[in-house]
Amino acid sequence: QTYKSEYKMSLVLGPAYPWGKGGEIWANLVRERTQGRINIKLYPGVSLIQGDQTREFSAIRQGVIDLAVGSTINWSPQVKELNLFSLPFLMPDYAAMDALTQGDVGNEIFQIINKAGVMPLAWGENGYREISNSKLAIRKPQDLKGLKIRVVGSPLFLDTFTALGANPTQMSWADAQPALATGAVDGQENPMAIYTAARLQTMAQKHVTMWGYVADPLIFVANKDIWASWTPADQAIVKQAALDAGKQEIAIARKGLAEADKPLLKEIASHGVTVTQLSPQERDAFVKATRPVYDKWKNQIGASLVNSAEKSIAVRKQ
Amino acid sequence: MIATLLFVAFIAMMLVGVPIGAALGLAGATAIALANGDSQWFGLLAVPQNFYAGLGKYPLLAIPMFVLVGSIFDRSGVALRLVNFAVAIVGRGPGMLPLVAIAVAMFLGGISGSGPACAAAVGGVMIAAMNRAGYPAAFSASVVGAAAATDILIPPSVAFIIYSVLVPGASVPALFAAGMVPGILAGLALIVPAVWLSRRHKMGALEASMPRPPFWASFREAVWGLAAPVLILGGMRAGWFTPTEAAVVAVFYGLFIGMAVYRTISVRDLFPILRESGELSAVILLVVSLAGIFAYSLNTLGVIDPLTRVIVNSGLGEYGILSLLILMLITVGMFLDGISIFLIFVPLLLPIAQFYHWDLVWFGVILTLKVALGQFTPPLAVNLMVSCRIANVRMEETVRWVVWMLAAMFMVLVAVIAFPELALWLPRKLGY
Amino acid sequence: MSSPPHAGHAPEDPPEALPPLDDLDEPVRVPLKIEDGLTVLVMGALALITFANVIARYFTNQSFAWTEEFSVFLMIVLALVGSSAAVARDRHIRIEYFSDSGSMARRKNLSRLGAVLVALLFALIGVLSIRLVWDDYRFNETSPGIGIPQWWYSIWLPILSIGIALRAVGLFIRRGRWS
Ligand code: NA
Ligand code: NA
Repeated sequence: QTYKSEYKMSLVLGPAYPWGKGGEIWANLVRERTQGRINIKLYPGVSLIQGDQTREFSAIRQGVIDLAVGSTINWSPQVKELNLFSLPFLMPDYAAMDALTQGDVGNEIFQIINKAGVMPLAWGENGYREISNSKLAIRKPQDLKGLKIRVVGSPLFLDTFTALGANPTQMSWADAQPALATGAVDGQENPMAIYTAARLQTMAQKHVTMWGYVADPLIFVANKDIWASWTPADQAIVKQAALDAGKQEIAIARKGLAEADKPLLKEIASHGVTVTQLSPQERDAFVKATRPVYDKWKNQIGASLVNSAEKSIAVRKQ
Repeated sequence: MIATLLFVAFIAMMLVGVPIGAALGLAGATAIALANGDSQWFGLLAVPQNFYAGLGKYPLLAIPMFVLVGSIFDRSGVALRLVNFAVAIVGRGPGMLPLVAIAVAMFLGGISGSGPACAAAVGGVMIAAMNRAGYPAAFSASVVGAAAATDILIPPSVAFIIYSVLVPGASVPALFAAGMVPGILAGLALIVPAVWLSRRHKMGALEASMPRPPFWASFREAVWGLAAPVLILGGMRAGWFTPTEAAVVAVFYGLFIGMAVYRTISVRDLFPILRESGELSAVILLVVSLAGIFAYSLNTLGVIDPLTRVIVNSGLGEYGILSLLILMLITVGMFLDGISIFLIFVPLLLPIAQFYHWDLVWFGVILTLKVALGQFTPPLAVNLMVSCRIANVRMEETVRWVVWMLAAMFMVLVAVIAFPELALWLPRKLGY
Repeated sequence: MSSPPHAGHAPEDPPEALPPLDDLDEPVRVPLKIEDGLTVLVMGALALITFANVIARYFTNQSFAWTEEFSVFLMIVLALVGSSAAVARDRHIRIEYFSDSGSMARRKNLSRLGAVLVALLFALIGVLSIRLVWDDYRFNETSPGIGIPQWWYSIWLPILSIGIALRAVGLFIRRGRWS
């Protein structure tokens, strides 16, 4: 068995973000614990396939990428079950997300990914996606009516925003930033880590609503041929390092949001941004408005998988 | 070792006249196969993946659309009306027609995104007029070729779009705004040698005896063309459309003027317009996508980091290295076109720019200024090629005039390096 | 930003004076009308779709969110189809400085070498991309934007790449007849 002198790890965001930090921790742990036998170089910005996030999963399977920390949203074109996490208002809180990724549902999804030709190793987290816009504080579905919202390109996201009466627009992130700045588009949805890092308050995004409608977990994976080329001892080290890195990454991603007083939101508000938190009744109105989308996609994703997800969430430990 | 082969194979293929895109793709594919001997399919699946992904970017859609804009405005008769209006303002006299040519090229630069398209539109009107006025054809071709180079600095610009795709940290609106002042300065700088040479060599002696168009009549005729940059740049600024969409708005505005107002374009003309601009865009886009394969091998062979270290540790200092880079790019630019320069060198130079914390928008303007110079530096000078063909002169004959224009625009490059605010003031003012 | 347009026209030229481009071409066995027609269609469609999107977003509250994915696909088709015609017409960007000077035999040989290498590259891309299409098909991959089968898009990559390779072979043969 021959080891390569360097392995290529694909990431969407660099170590300035929790996502990239998770990849960096994983690479460092592997290098230390294998005494440099496995040496990993980071390629943030999905630069191994010219930044095209939606081709990342295929590229891992085809050996263009050796290792990756990737988002369930970006990989859902290849693995339709990953749309589970984009079902609107499926996961009410962090405990619900943990109940899925760390439980039976997580195991089942790992088997599906394995069957799709990629070796899954551990879970991480990009975060809950919150909505921001330049027009008004969103408290009820009617507030979204007619708002032009930039969404990531995915049919489920389009359905969700159409159901809420918004006007979803698909746009690359490169086009989205000037579009937000000039008002060609009114709003966007992303994890708060991206809102702060991209300083979206400077692009007229003055209203943030913490509605947590979906969250995208991250998955630590390896190409199968590369995985098979390692000794069982090294495989165990890489897997454990992924688990450890995933745990640390989730803690970083939740920093400032999981605490009771949510210091990150205070900091964002200090830039003159109104941060709106929904009451349970307010959230219910959104749940009701998006229910038809949920039901339609439940069948497309697979009713049995969604049922067991609902069950896991119902019995979650708070 | 493999990295050396990558560059040697690429340069060798390029010099013997293999299409640049093919040289990039083949050198890249060979290096990938050699470096991944024990991977599945020699790691070669990176070739189609990067080919497809290098091209599959929505902002690149602006390239075919801006090429189409150039082709439409070339035929629409806008340039002719703008020239008449400009002559009505500045009047007749030695050196006035070259000045008008430069001013109109700058103005068209606010609509079109590529230098050669601008050279074709301005050259089509100005070179014949300058001939009648007694300017030597080689001089006219030099003025038009140089003036058209301001097009890629004055927004909109295909050069900035490609740079922005390669450097996600530099947004298209910021780059567009940053190019405005240097672009205008470049145009003004070109006027100095153009007018001075005309007077010194007593060119255009017949110009004073030519009729001067009436001001208001020519203004009425030109107003549609005058409104175009206002619509394009203003619409982007106001948020009516994204930079990608701006190109398409310009296409339909140009068609409206050409088909409904000036009636210079008929429905039958649409076929050659679409075919020509489509094929030219394809030629550009193919280099972009094949460069994706080259970029992948460059990226994974681990040559960029050591190369950067050698350069920044050379002891030349920040400005020494910047001067060296520009010198190198000017040499390369004698043989390579602007797009290839961006695609090959931006990934190599970016780590150096980041090491010195150069502003990436400013760096983009510097590189674009350099590429603009290259568009009229023989022997490979895409703008001069167009203007020389219209003027029916050989490029060698233009050298004695073109050197003055090059020197003038080079001064602007030096000024933007010395005073980065020339580029950075406007984007900051506009809040990008 | 680069590469000259094929011809500069004085804007006051009557439409009849546009040089009939097809007459400038060397004769080819497979008519270039195939590529030319497709190029015109795709360019027209790209302009119309994007313009309709601006109009729709501005004057109504509708937007065709699916168009971005489709436009990108059309742009890829444009790049390949237009490149195919440009290979046949020998119009790709290249350094002519050394290859277009010297003896006729040298020019002929270098021109044929260029054609062979283009054919080789696109044959390689064509063959390798069949694996891409096969993966898209067997794993039921869907397009990221609208969710239609991805192989409906990717199948055109091998087909059009092989087309370019064949045009390069054609150029190789025609250049062989130079004397
Ligand atoms: Na321009
Ligand atoms: Na040049």
